[in-house]
Amino acid sequence: MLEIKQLCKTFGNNTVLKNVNFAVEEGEVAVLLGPSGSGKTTLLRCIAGIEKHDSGNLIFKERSIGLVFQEHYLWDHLRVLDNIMLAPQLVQKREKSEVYRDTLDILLKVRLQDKINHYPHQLSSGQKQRVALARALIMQPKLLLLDEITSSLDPQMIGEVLAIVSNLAQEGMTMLIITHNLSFAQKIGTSFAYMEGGMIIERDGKELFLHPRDERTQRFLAEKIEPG
Amino acid sequence: MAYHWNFSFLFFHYKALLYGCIVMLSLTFLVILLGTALGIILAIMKISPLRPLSLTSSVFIEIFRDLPVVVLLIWFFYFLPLYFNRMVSPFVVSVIALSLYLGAFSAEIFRAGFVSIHKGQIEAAHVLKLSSVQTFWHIIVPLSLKVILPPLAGRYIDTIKTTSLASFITVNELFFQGQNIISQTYRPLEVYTVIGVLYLIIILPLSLLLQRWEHARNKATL
Repeated sequence: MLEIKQLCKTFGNNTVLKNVNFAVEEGEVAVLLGPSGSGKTTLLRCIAGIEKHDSGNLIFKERSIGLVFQEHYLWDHLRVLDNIMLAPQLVQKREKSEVYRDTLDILLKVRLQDKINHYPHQLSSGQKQRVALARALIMQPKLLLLDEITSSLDPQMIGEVLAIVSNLAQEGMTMLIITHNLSFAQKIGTSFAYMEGGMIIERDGKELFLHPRDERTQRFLAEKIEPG
Repeated sequence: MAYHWNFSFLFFHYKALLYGCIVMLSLTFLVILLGTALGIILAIMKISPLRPLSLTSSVFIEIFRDLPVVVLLIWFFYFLPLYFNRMVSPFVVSVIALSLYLGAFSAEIFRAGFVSIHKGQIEAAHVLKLSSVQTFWHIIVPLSLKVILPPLAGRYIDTIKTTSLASFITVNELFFQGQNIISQTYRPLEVYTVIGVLYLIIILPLSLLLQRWEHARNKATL
């Protein structure tokens, strides 16, 4: 689905990604773990094409990517319906009636069918994030990138967003997720990578949580699992 | 000393005043149309990462904002016929000079609006593969309207009033017609009173309409 080879990215004098090698297979739910500033978000932004990498290769089987940011970044002037319907009509040139039908299906999936005519400011933060998910899903992405989508949400809102992501994982959606929520990561992830200092330190299945090989991963997980 | 107001003579000049209103509104319409288009272009140039474009825009804006409108009007009145080597009507000169003036002021208004949008909202459009033009018209322009609209509405209303300066280069707009009537009747107080009332009749409803639109828009989006 996606292969990353020797990816490097520098901002001024700061090298954020150092020869990153990574791959995501079809149907995989890959989770990126790591402390803040480790380069996780930059990696996702390079994959999504928001940032241009300096060197290395990004090889896509099919470049159809959806990205949901940490903040929802909905367009305030458009209703929920229009926020979702705009891109497929403009970009994919799909028929309005067909997009409308799909939008209703997706809104049902993210449990927001009753908010169709609401503006973003009339929604809770959790609902906004679910609209952002719907806006990404309407484009029928083959790979969905989620960048700490629950980190700006209240605890009670986190559950409703994560439930939807879990459903997507069960449906076989290929995802690359950045999250600090380790229990959620373990629940839906099929592979896990630990990133620090712009490098992938190690990558494994659920074994990563049980027997991390690298000292840095051990330290990170120990801090996360037993805070204080 | 009591002044005897007498407006009756103005009935004989209503056609001239009406014609002046039509010229004034036509001038305003064209200036707003061209000035707004120029303002958008200058604003895009100014926020462009390409240094020559942003520099050109900054210099243009600075020059046209710093010069008095009358100086601009009179300068173009003499310059354009020389440049084109033919007569240029004072109306066309006014449209050009006032559009450049409005363009320079509105450019700053548009720029402030465009940069007020959160980068993430533009990146969201980028990820969804909207083109630059689609992002501009469907995301940037409507989102920035809330910031742009109040000062722009004020600038448009100011443009209506500024058209009276076109009388300096003999454009037959309302103020010029008034001066003509005064030269025949020697009753400036009555003529300028009526001209003032006519400006109010045109500007007041427009001002209220813009306020209501702005209010409704703000209510809908936040």
